[in-house]
Amino acid sequence: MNNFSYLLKQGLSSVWKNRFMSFASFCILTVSLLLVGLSAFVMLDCGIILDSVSDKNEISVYMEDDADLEHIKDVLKSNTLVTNVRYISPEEGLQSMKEQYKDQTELFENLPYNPVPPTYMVTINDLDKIDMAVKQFEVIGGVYKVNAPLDFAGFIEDIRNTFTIIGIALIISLGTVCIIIIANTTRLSVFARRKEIAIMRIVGATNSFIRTPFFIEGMFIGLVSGLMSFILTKFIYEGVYTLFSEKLGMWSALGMDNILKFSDVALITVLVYCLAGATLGAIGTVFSTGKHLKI
Amino acid sequence: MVELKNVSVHYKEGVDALNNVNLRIEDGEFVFIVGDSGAGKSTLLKLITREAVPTQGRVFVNGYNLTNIKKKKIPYFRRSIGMIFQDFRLIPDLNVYDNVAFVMRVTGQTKRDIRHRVPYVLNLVKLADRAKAYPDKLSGGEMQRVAIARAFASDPGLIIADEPTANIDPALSYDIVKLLKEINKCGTTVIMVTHEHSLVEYFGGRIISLKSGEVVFDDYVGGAADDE
Repeated sequence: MNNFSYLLKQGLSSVWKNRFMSFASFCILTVSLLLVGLSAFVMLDCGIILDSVSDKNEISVYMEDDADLEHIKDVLKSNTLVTNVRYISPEEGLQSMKEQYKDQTELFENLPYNPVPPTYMVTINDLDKIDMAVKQFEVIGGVYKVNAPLDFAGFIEDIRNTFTIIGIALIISLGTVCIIIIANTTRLSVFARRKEIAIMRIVGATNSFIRTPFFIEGMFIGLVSGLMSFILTKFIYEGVYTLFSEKLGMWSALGMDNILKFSDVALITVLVYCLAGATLGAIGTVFSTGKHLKI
Repeated sequence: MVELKNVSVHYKEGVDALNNVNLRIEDGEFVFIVGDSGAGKSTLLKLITREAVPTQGRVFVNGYNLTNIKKKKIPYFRRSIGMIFQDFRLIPDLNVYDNVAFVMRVTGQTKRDIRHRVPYVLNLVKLADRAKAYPDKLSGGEMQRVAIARAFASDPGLIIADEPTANIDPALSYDIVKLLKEINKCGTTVIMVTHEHSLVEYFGGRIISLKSGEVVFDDYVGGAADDE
């Protein structure tokens, strides 16, 4: 314990002695963790939205105003893919829209006519065959348009895949940059303390004793960067969340009610950020202390 | 105990630093090693501290066979020796007390031991009143005394002094050697490398002379100090 407090003091004082390089490492590490973290949030949210969309495997079948509703209902029910058919009248449809966009009532004022067509909400038993079902419904006489959640799901899937690629690319490229930057910071610390290290070696300090302050220095910078990234992520994520949900009222409209609330994942986020920062910091020191430790 | 058996060191550049050296230094001895530049003194010290390994032959120091010692054990071996350098090698950021305590901290000794031992060795080198001074406020002689205190702090069995009087006022050189002699009286083996023949002639004792990598003289010589 005596030694640990000494090594801790040495490590932390080294951060201050090399404060400019430490600050540069801190900034790079913070930005890197932030970008990777935000990408991860987008990926996770896309996953949640996809699951939510999959749960609602209902196809909206909009009909012409003069369509034979009973005939269309019979055709739909006779389809082997269909498990349920639910009718929504134009009045009910309009009411539902009004509820969805209750903050923007001006949209529904002075409408010359009800724009919502009569609709059947059709549930199918196999989401993989949704494409086929849509094609079959579109050719039914009197059907004006068919909307499947598949288009939206595909769009979300594309976003998730894009952010997965961006996330992986960021992890590899920024991770490498972070390690190089931390390694250079540590190298400067090692250079500044080279005489001390030479004396340590000759008086019998073990390699771990010599290395530990540099590990502490790297891990400390990583830890503080992790905390800063967490704070920035919280503000950015909550800011975007508030903007979409309160200002634009878009979450529920897009079926995104279930996306992550930051407060629910704050603890795990701060832990992951700090752990990632400290690990990158520690790895960086490994590459820079070896040369001076040759016995 | 230090023992070299048929030790030779040949560098890649074709230089023969040591040629078939045999010598044995018993515990508690005080030995001067003399020789011109390039005689092999530095190589000999590097072998004893395990900073170098012989091309052939074997080196034993304080019970360690340095020819085949495992790397992990080298730090523990080095704790059994104390080093004094001609350029002092004090840490400028640390005061006198902490420079001496540094060795004890590095080797994992307790705070309590450090609190007891450091004042004792500072008193021995007559620097108790300079404990809080930083190296840049000390004279050359004082810095070397701090270095001696540091070498002696862990109570090593062997102290190696590499030209400890080279960078200090000649008048103070005698005080430095006297200090080392006092430490030697406590039972610590002292090996001192020097260029200064006047010191060797004054103090006498066992003298090992190297020339072109070979031991050309190894015997006890009476000194003027013996007559005082």
